Amino acid sequence: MTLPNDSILVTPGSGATVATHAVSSKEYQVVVLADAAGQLIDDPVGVYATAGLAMAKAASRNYLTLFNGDASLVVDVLGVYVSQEATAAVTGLVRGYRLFRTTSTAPTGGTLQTPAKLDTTTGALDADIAARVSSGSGVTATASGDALAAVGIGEEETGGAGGRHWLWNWKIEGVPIVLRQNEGVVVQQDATAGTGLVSSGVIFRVRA
Amino acid sequence: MTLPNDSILVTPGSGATLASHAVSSKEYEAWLKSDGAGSLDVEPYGIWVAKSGTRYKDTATGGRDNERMYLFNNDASLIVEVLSVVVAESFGSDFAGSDDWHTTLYRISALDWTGGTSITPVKADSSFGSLDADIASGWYDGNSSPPTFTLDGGALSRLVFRSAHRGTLHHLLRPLWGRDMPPIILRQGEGVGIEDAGAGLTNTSNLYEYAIIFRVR
Repeated sequence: MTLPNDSILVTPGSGATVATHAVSSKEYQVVVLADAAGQLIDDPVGVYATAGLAMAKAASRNYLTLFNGDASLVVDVLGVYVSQEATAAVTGLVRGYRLFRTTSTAPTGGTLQTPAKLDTTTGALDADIAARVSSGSGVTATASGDALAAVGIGEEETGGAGGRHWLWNWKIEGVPIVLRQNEGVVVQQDATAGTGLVSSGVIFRVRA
Repeated sequence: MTLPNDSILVTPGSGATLASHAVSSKEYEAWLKSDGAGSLDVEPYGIWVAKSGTRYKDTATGGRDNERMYLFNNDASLIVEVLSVVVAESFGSDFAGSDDWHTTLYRISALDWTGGTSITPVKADSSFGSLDADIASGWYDGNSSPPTFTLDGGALSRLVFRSAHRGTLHHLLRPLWGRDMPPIILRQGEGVGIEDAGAGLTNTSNLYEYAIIFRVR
């Protein structure tokens, strides 16, 4: 965490107009919150989302990667999720999905995604930032270090599976995962094959 | 908990009265939070809810998931912010199968809504005006030919629901998009569309309902 590193002297009577909102004859100053990177919180500009849908499962398969190869741009991973759906009867299995950082080697294979913009005024995604999803044989990527997060989802048809399970959510964890040059994240299944299909998505922000 | 350890003296003059809150002989200025567009946070004014009716899940046709509901902005100046999209599932009859069904949120770039029913969104606060006629919402009620819309890019989000009635967590209202992420902005000629389908495509026991909560500015 970082403390504010500067202050300004306010001189009444001159300068800019401060936004207020009047309620019951009193003026409330209206403030816009920013995070430690100076980015407006909940601002959709510069935010992208993409997902791999209904991907076939396999043991230790990499379903989704996001990798930043740019020397100056920074990627903030706001959210990563998985959802699982049964396609046939199955009894008594729970599949694990993990979120790792990758090594500095850019992932390959799978399908290169074109992430959707939350606000179309956002510019094109820099070509050095790549999201890939499994296309039958998984994305080729190497996990680095211990998992950032893990979730178990039941495959048992009589259980309560489905839904959307967050591996990371910046409003829950309190911070995004920051990807600088040659850093990435990967969503990987546990070492059991499992049954059915899995979808996985990522929501991320790019800043200078 | 710790109280602030300092205070500053403000000399009143002329002008407006700033809202404050006194605690332990110190004045705390009361603020209102807004988003980057200047809209006040937690403010029901200008918020609309477009909700579908209840409908059995249909079998997908044509190799594509079923188009279920949309919100589309065709106004040249107004901007629509999609704050959240929620889904609820219920059952019309027993179903012991194992083919789950999924629902997916997309951006859409065009509307060819030849079937379905238009929705009249409801205000979160009745004190504001009518919804602009260029902002439209609708859902597929199953009583006409399946509607279509043009997807703009890949999925924004996906949820999966368990088909079998023996499972749990069916009837909850679940967010397909929520306030834990920034809003989705819709300018002229832009919309969001919801599709769903089941892996087995044979289960019509499930009922679905969708709601899109949005703001116009």
